[in-house]
Amino acid sequence: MDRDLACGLIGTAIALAYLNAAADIPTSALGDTVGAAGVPHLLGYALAAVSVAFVAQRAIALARGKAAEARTGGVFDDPVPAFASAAGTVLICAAFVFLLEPVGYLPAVAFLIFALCVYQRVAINARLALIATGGAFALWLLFAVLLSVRMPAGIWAEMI
Amino acid sequence: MDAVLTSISMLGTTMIVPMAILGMTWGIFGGALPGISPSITMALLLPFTYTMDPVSAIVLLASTYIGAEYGGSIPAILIRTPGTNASAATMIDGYEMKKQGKAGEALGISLQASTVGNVIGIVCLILFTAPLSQLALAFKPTSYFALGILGLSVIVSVSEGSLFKGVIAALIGLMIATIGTDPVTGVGRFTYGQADLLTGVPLILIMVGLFAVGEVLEQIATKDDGTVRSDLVTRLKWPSWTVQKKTWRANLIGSGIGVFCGIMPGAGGTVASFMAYSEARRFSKTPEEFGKGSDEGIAAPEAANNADAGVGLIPLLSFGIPASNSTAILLGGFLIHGLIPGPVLFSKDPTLLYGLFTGLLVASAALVPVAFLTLSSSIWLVNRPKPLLMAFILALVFSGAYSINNSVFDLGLVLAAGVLGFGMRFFGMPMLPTILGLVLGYMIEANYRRSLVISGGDNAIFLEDPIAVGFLAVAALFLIGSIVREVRKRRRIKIEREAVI
Repeated sequence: MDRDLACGLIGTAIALAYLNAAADIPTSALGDTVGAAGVPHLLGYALAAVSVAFVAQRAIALARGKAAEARTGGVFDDPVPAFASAAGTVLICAAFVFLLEPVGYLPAVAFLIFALCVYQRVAINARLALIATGGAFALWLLFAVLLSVRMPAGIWAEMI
Repeated sequence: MDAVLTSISMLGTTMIVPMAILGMTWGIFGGALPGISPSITMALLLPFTYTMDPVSAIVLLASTYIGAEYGGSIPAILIRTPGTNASAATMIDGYEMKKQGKAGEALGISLQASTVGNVIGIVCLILFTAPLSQLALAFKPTSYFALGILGLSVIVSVSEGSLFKGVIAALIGLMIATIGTDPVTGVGRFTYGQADLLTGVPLILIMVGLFAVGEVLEQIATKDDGTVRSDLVTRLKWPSWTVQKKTWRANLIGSGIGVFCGIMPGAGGTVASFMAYSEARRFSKTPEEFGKGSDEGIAAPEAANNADAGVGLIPLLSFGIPASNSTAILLGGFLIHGLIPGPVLFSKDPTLLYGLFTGLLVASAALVPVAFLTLSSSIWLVNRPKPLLMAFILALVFSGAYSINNSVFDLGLVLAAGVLGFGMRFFGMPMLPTILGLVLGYMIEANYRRSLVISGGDNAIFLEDPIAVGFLAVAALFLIGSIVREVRKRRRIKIEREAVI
């Protein structure tokens, strides 16, 4: 599918979902003439209008055969592997977010660095394990020791 | 005179000098890393500024911005990969000089031009910011509403190709800004029982996610064979007197164009550097050398993008409106400390701005020694394997985001914003309109509704405020002008296409 057309359709979908959610905004007895839901409704309708106009303009251009390719370039010339790669990275990051409090900062960050490197095809060996552990320790020193940020201790707190 | 004395006294009593040098160093390193833009370099620092005093934090971020603009020229010259978008013009002649074995000379010319551009840009910033801020002291809610609309009208010039995409991006930002407690009635909107969302979505987390995480997701998705490596023994050489005589004109042309583009909303450093390259070539005594390793071809764009960086702070400091991604991050630095840039800040806490100006001048003075001292480290960084860099950047981003509120929920927000940033990059949508929508959304809505409460619901109140009328008129002119330009551009493309057929 044409990228701009998809962009317009996604914009329309977001607008509809937003308007649906805006319908649940409660009204207040203190309400002014605009109300708490006034601006959200206006924004929702504006996004829907702009997105539909974008879709229409693009569809007409495609039908007339005058549509130029959307300007993106680089990695996005081949979108399927780019999306697959980004999805994998997001999953690793989500796993890190999920693990952070249960397992603690040090192991979670070491996991994040190690997993991201392996995902980017860095060979698994002792050096990589050392880099991940050393990196996590350096960041822990920076945040927990130097900046006095309370990073989650996780299972280690119970063991100690 | 008081301002000068205050500024001088601040040099000894505050952390301005170390923060300016630290920011400059971090900025050079960040700029030197291909794919890591000045805004990402600044975004990575944001969480660290929480514990700092406001002056130190703002000087650190602003110096990073300045440093990154110079740092971008290092990989542009050494490995033909611009570290920042604005250094793409420097690459043309810089890499040619490197191929001729004159990488050190090229880096020296770039450094000198950056220093000239910096100083000129900062002097303009100091001269113009205060008078503009005085104007804004007379603002009422109606004026702020109109100012917000004027700020949003900038979207048309930062939409990078498609006005539709720019407007969609801005509306998404405005929608995110509606999450949280309603500014007038106190009703919760889109919070779904999440206490973390009652105060709204923190701008800072969205910025870090959109810029840093989104960029890293794209970088990881980019295949890199890692074959381009730089010579580790390059030495920076300050331009000789002969070269300086040859490049002074290009330095001035570049700085002038940088100042002009910095004032124009949305023009930015990239436009400035290419314009400067073109104009320097036009006025050069040796235009035939351009593209083949011309000294002036390096000086003009570098002076331009550095002058643009300084002047680009004027809209932010005078009116609280960021004109670029980097100044949007700087705005985040202000907001972290509960400060809203603009006229009120100038009258309420002038020492902060004196501190910022002093810090920027210190950073400019520090640029030359810091650049000499950090070149080897910068080259080492340029040569690091990308997988390691990306993994460490993400670890740093998440650690920093967690440290703000000790909240895993915040990490989820950063990741979600990163996915949004990746999606926007895929669709070729500009980021700045989203940030403008986020920043201006609350200001526009709150002041619009406050004005209507004052007037009892009568919209004519906006026409009774001359400042509001002026801003709305300028915004309308700006929109009409941009639309006319867009229509003309389409017509020209159509004529060119028909001519080809």
